[in-house]
Amino acid sequence: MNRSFKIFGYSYLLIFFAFLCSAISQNKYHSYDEMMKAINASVSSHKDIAKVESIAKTIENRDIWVVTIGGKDADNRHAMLVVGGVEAERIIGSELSLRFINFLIDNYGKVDSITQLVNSTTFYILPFVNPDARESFFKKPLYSRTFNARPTDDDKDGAIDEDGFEDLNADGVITMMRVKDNRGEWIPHPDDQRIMRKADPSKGEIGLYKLFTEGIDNDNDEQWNEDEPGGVDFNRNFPHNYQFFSKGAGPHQISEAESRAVTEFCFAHPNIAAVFTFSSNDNLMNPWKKEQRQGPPQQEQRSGRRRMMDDEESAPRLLTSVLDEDEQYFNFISKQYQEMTKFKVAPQSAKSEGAFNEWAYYHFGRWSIAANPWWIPEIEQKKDSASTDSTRIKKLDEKKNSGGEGKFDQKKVKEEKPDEYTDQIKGLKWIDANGIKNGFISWTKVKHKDFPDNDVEIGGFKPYILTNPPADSIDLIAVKENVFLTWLGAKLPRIEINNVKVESVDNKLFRLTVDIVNNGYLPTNSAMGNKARWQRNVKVTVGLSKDQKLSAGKLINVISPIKGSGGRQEMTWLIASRHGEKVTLTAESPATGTSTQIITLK
Amino acid sequence: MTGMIKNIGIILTINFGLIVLLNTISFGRADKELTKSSLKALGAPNNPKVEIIWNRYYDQKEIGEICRRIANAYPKLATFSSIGKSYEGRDIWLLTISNSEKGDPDKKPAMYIDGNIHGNEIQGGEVSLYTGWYLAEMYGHLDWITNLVDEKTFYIIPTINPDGRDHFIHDANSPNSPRSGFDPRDDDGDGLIDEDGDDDLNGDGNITQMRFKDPNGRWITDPDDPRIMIQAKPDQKGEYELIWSEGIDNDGDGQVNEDDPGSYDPNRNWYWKWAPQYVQWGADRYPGSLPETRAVVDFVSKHDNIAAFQTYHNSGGMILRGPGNKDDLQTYRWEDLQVYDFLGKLGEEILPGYKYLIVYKDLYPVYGGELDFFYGVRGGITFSNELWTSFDYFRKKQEEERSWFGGQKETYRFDKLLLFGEGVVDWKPYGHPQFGKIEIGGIKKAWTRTAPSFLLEEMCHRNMAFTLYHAYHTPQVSIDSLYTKDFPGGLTEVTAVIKNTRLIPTHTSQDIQNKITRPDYISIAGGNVLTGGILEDRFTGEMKEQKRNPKIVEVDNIPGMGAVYVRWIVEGKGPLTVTVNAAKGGTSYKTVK
Repeated sequence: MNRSFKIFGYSYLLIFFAFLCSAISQNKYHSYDEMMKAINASVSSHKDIAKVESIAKTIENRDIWVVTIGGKDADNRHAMLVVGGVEAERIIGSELSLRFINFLIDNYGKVDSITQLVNSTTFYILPFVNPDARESFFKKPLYSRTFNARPTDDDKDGAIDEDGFEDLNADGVITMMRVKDNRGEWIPHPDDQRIMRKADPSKGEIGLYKLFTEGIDNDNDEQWNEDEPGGVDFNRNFPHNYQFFSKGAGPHQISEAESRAVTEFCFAHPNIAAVFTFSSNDNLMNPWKKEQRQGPPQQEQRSGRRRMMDDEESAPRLLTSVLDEDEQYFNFISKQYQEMTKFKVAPQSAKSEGAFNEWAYYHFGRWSIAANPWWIPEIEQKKDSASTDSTRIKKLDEKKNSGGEGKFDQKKVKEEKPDEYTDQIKGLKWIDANGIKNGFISWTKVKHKDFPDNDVEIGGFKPYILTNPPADSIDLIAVKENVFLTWLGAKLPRIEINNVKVESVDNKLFRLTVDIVNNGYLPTNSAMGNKARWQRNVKVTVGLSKDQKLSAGKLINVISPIKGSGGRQEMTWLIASRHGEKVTLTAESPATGTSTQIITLK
Repeated sequence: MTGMIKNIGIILTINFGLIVLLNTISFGRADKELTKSSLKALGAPNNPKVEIIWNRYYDQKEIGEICRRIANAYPKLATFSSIGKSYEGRDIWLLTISNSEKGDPDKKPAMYIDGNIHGNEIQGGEVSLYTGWYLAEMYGHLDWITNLVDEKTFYIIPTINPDGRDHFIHDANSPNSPRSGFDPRDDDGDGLIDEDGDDDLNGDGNITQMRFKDPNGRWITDPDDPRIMIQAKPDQKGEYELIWSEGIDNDGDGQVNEDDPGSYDPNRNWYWKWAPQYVQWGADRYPGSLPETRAVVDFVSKHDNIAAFQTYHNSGGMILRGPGNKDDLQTYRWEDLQVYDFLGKLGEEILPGYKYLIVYKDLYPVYGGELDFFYGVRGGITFSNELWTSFDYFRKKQEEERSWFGGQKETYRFDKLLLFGEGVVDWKPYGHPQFGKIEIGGIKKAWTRTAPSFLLEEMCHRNMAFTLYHAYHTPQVSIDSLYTKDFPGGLTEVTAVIKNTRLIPTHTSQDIQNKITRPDYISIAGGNVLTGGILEDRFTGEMKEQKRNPKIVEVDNIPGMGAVYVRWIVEGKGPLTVTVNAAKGGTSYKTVK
């Protein structure tokens, strides 16, 4: 254990330097074409282990690319799927995916630990899954687009895409628009006047402004920019907690070329053991917690054939929180991530409705890990502010758990409690502290045809500024994520046949006993995967010759999940055979690999 | 040598030609004289343009052929097309019935009908086909039918699981297989796909049961009918052991018939309230994972004019409505339940032995079912009929009411008295490669779930009748009255009463709640429109003004058997024309001078 840690530490350093060497000219955001060039360059430098393929075309005729790193036999080894850009507004996810591709390819054959990893584990990397929306970052006017190009009647008025944004002050950026109006509900935030906050009538606050996104009411329906071009958000189109009839969700689950291609890719690759997503639906800084209240006890249906009748009361219910058996693994991975990255305080995980990473766990049944690729860093006021903050949040958590009673000064806690404006205030502080030019476009007056009698001002955060780091810091973030991804890649389940024991009962009858062992860290299946049917359990097959016969045990055995870190299942067969004859024993499942032993009966 | 090959070629061509010709003849029934009758029996036409025998079942190709013949015979009334392909590449045929000279069929209030979502539940195909055929043939002969075909559109898809249908018809099966489609799945999790299905050991085209004589078994034969296996009484000595359905352990894993083709439930693959496998068996990988589901969803999503849906299953004699599960109770609101209840009870009258039931409560919980999709996502009033009822055995209440398929005793009794044994395979010895001396016998695939010939036509007609009333009650909008009144300042006040003369509203409550269908447009032409809106109270004259584009007043809904009142203030003289245009209720206009 100790020794392996040392080796790991050593290779950590090595890959760190190897990375820095390979990364020098990358500090930028890549457009679709640039991204393709970079991927192709990388892949063609190591064609023996890497390839790139398209799995779908979007409406705007871009491809969704999957990069496979793992060589010829890639589909036959356990694999990790890495997905970037599920949230088109976080284009950083795609950049980090690209850097992970480069990292593996550049270091293969140079750094032993990476070579070994790539030789044993396949990585499928999807740098972007909503390229049409992502491309908006490279266009003018700049607006944070999350929708693909499917024409959609967002406001259900019978007209399609009829009211999008307009760059009224011609600064190349779509921001916000505030209209002075005593019927408005908004006021400047007391902590920073640039930010708009909803007035709280219970505190005697009176609204001063109406607040809209920048644009005109193209269809005269007294709504502004309510039906922008395009329509479906990739990360709201998946079946777990899908919200019908809500804006951006699409006509139904997996309705889009993008989401369908990714889903089909997943099912076509049963060797995927874990799914990693760059997404603000993060479960590394905010590990999934089991809800206290769950439905009635679950009922096993895995092997049910033509099951039609369900007992109403004992019927299984949809699961909405992580299963007990899985929770501890997610916790461990989360701890490791926090230690490796030294991240302390992070925003709460984003609300997920139809999110990809949740689908990957709840429906696809795989170990699904999501990292928020970036957030506005804390501005260090005191030397020790980060740890103070983390202590504070910890206390808040404790308080939550204790049911909100006593212990702390309630008023104080309430004031400090983060609300929907905390991120914006933080964002402004960060923009100011780092002198980021035009990070916040200050409010300036314009004339607006829809409001001839009101003061109208345009201003607000530059799109993408709160969700993506400055380009020059991407590479440093990538170092941390690459180290973690490499670590995680080495934790996949790995099946082996061990402790082979042959006992001769009477020289014609042999008792064969073996252990089927999982030498990886993760269990062969998540508990959810075991429920979800679509991940295979390990199958153990006995290969006999014509004149051998089984007296006890089965030829084909599909066995229950095996825990990691040396978890084992003992198996025994009684075989009638001539002395000295061989049997072949195979244990395999796509996500755990194959182990074969030829055993002589003597 | 070459000559010989040529000859063979010619012979083959002739042979093939003959087969095609013979097929056409058997469809066409050349001998017209036989079908003419001096007294027309009421109901179906006695001398139709398209002769179809309604006492047999048709496969996917034949269904296409029948649809094509109807469309060729009635080009004004019928069109024939395909909405997509099944997993195995069969077309999913669509027969559209509507008088195209009385308006674009895609803009009339429409009824969608399909059948056979489960591979073995085939007679929905014949009921659907019969409906299309009857409407086309009776057009011009019966006013009620003529009006219906003028006003409405029928989208008829006889089988939405053509793979399952053809395998059921052409392969050895039991009455219960295959429920699934044919996209292969690994049922037993061993990494092999569809490797151990049923096997027709005795080669009789049926998958029946296997039993063997066993003095320690717990089964005996029924003393009234020795073909029936019953359990021995607790203190009674047994004679037999039942093994499994007919088959062998093909893959040597110690299980018999555990991985048959497909094995998902096409009727659990739909988007509304879909739930994964551990909640809903057969849900498959994700909602809409099957090409057949997607073909239907794409079709109905492009047809806003469909206001009502009917799907046909078997069996049990049920008129089913949603919700499929308790979690969906709040979706079915009382306004729409009025409509459901009226039609459902009408159905009970038209279909003796059928009961109007609610899926989740009276049948079993269903997540991701087709009928819930049609109502939940498309907002249409939807019924699903379970065709064929054991009530039809002897037209009386069953002695045994153990299952929807009828009691075993009645099944065998009917077979004996009316089918003269045609429905059952008698037990016969068989040398099983794995189990040794066994016997094979039991119910044939065409018995217990599909109607026998002499009851099939009746089933078609009665179920069609129920669906025609359903279609009749899709919304039908028109302008009841239009009047003008002088308004101060030389202006004119125009009031239009827009009515829906049928039971189903232009927007069901689920539709209104979620804005599924665009609003109904009530527009005025002629004169300069100054303002307009909906008259919320026709007595006090309280109007809700529509500031934007008052020329076209948008209405959320025109209730069933009800009306909405619209008012404009218009400048100028001259004739005024008001048009109502409802996606699900049709178009109509009226002019006033």
